[in-house]
Amino acid sequence: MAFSDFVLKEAILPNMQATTAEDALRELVQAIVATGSLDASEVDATVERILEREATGSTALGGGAATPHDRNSSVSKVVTAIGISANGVPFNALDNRPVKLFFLTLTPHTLANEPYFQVMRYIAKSLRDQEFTRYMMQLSEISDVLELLEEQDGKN
Amino acid sequence: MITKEVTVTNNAGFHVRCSSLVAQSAVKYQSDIVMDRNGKRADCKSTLDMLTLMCPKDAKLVIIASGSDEEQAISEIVSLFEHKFYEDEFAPTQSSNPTTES
Repeated sequence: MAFSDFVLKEAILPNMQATTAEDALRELVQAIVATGSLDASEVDATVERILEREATGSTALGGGAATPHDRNSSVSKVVTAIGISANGVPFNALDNRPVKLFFLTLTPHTLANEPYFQVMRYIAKSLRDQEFTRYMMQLSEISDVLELLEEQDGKN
Repeated sequence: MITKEVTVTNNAGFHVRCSSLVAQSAVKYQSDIVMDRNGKRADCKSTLDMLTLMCPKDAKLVIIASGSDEEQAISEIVSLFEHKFYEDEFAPTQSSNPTTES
């Protein structure tokens, strides 16, 4: 597996502007819409569903990273947007740290769990590399993010 | 030390939110609490650590607690599994492929 299997290059946002959890989710979901992978009419409902589930259990992993996700009828495969927020966004993390690195993943409604699990395990494995996480949070250019993802693929 | 095997019973499997709920419970306790799946272990106080053990419905995990409050710790975490983590809405609406253990 490699990040290129599921990360949408055109949905990498190295300079997120959002200051709230809702705005961060909206920014990332709209980035996926811009790639053509998600219908624009799905944005509000997607953000609302993710927020509702975040209220029951945060996807903030601690250390400034979060992995919000949703099932959606208009995506055809598991896709991920990456967002980097220089100042961080409050996201109800267990360690109370604002989230600076988002991996937002959308999975097709009817797809079994295992492809999504594979993606999440891959992201988790990478985030356990503290160097990778620290460097990702400092990047502000898409090309640098892609380079670091490729480098991490080689290590994984 | 107390060891308890649990089975993942929620259709969505043991995923991010489940890990988060386990971590929220585990950090309240002084005991060391780990989760084991086929010999691979994760710290139950770390959502990120547990993500590496993400698994589908019917998978079996072993919870191991060691410390002064191990009984309460294991009881609370086992309860989460027994209550299917109080949600199941991430499950697929209609499976197009059979789920498999990995």
